[in-house]
Amino acid sequence: MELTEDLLWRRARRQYELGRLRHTMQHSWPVVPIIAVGALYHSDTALIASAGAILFALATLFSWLGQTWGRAIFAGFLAGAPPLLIPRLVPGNAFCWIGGRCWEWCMLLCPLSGLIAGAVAGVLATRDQGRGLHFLAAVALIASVTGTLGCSVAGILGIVGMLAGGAIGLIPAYVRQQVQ
Amino acid sequence: MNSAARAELHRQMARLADGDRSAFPSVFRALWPVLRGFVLRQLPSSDSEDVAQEALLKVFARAAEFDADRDALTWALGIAAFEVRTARKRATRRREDLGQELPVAVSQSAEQEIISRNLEAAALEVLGTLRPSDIETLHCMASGRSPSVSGATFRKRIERALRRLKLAWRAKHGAD
Repeated sequence: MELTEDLLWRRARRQYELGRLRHTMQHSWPVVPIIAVGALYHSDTALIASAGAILFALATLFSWLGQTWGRAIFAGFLAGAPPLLIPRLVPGNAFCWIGGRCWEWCMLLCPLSGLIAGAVAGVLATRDQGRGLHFLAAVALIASVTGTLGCSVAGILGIVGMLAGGAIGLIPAYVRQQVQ
Repeated sequence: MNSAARAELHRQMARLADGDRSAFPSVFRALWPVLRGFVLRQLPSSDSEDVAQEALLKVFARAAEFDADRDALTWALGIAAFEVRTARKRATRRREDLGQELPVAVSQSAEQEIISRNLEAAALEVLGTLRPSDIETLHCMASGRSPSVSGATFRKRIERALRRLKLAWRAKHGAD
């Protein structure tokens, strides 16, 4: 082989990047059970598959980038757990009347669990001040895709509600980051 | 490598493992001469450059797995020792005795040097078969560094590592 130092440098760099890519499995494996939970009740296979693929791609990318991005992955999964699980806790045929309209409980639980997710993401982001706004953005991104898999049970409206709830939940953390 | 350079290498390696690409040049510059020198002492010069390069590439390929609780230099040398062992095995399989490059007529002092070098190489080869934690314990003991565990635990670890080393030596060379 006998490489020049310059070529050795480049090969070492490539090996390092490939090694990091192999190492991403350590962070992206939770995507599999998350997709399984998402697919458990819902029939929209295309939505589950595309959200799952996006979540896997995001986890792989963030893990490969490392540092703050890498640390945001598990925080994102943790923040995304409420919208993933809560809407599925009520039976599919449970309804309530609000403002003269009939609502499915799971539909109402999506914005609520999104709000919890946003608040959890905010708490996790502000716990370590040094991580900055991109940590918050990365956590929010992972949490929202994780939550999408859960709120897909309530359709597009449920997902939109979850995202709106999440955005509201993030406001205090965002404001705090801006002030600091 | 002095202790300050070693500590700096450890710090940079931990950053690289975390994904900080800016630590790559300093790790490369610190590690390459050390690994090259280490392999050169174990193998004939015709093979050492290839094996050293292979070892360096392996170190970088596994950099993301590096545990910052362990010493970076010991970890890298463990990988290099494994590469040396693999190269020796490969050579044995090809019935190429890597030790055949010795000069035919050697003086008494040169002969002594060769014997001690072979002994050192044999010891390192056996050392390479041990677990990384054992290698680290023995390295810690040999260098006189203070261990990260309590004295009693460290003594117990040394005892176990030496026992495993003895067993490995006996399995390889058939004598104590």
